[in-house]
Amino acid sequence: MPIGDYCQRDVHSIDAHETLRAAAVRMAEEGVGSLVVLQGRQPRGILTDRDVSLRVLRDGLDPDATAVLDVLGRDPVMMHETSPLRAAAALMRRASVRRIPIVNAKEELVGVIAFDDVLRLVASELAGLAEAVASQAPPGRAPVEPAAAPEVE
Amino acid sequence: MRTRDYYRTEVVTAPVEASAAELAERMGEFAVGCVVIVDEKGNPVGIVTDRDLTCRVVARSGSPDKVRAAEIMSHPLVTASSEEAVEQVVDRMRTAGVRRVVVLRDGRLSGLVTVDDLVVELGRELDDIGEATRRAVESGRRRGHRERRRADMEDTLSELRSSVERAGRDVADFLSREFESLRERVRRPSGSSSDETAKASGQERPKGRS
Repeated sequence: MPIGDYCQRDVHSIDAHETLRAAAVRMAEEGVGSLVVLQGRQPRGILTDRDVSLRVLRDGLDPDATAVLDVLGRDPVMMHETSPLRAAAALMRRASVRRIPIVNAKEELVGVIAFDDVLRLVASELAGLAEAVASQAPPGRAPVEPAAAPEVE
Repeated sequence: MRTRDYYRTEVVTAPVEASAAELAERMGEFAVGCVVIVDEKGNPVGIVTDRDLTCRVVARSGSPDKVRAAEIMSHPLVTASSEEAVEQVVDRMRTAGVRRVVVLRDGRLSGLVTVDDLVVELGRELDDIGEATRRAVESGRRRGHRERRRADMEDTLSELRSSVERAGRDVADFLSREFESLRERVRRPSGSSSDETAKASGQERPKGRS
């Protein structure tokens, strides 16, 4: 199951040189909690609503003078579109992130896989398993044919 | 599954007059995504998330220092009782479109149920189920292995038995042939044997003696 088949292709992104204020406005208007930060077509990381609120309100950065690129980590977490889906959950765990940009061979953005997407996929697989288990009646509860009345001699 | 088994009782709170900067400070300090806003009596009246700070404070121009919790908090609160079934609470989260529900006990703030905590808790349970399944499969495999070894041993034993029987038959055949020839030799009148040795020895015997 390549991750490219499961990621969201409709990605909300922002140019790396836009300001934190612009990012906050986009998040509010588009109703999203994160934006993929792009330089050209290549992702440089993911900016979350938490990043914006803490960097501006707690750390006191000027939202109109700070570029989104300036608050991103140096080492963006990314996955190639041909990577297996199961690797996404492992990477999310290792890197402590909830969203991973998915790129093609040229490292251009093709989509995003979010923790919620993985959770939904796992949940639907589990639901399928649960149904399979439920359809196999346990031996003790297997429907039993009523025993024929013993013949009287 | 009761809510009391799935909620956290350490809740970060702030008064209604707390500034947006103070709320962000608390969220960072305690590594949480929300702060429950309480009135002067400590009763929960609203909630502010990190997202609210971005969308309701940073996205708007103006000085964030002047923004108070009361202006940006979500209210009325979506609440649950600690004795409620957790499925019911999850249902409420879905219909209200929230990921966090404040838990009340006797009308007082008692804790917080979050989607994240529930996922972690269910993940642990699934992990236990996975581990139990793995062990069951392994012990089944070991049992299968033992059964295979027993079957192998039985095969070997039965092969051994048949080769012993075959060998026994061969030995018996050989012995019975030996006995037969011995009997033949004993029964055979002297001199009439076709056996050259017997003939020779018979010829050597003086005929008149018998």
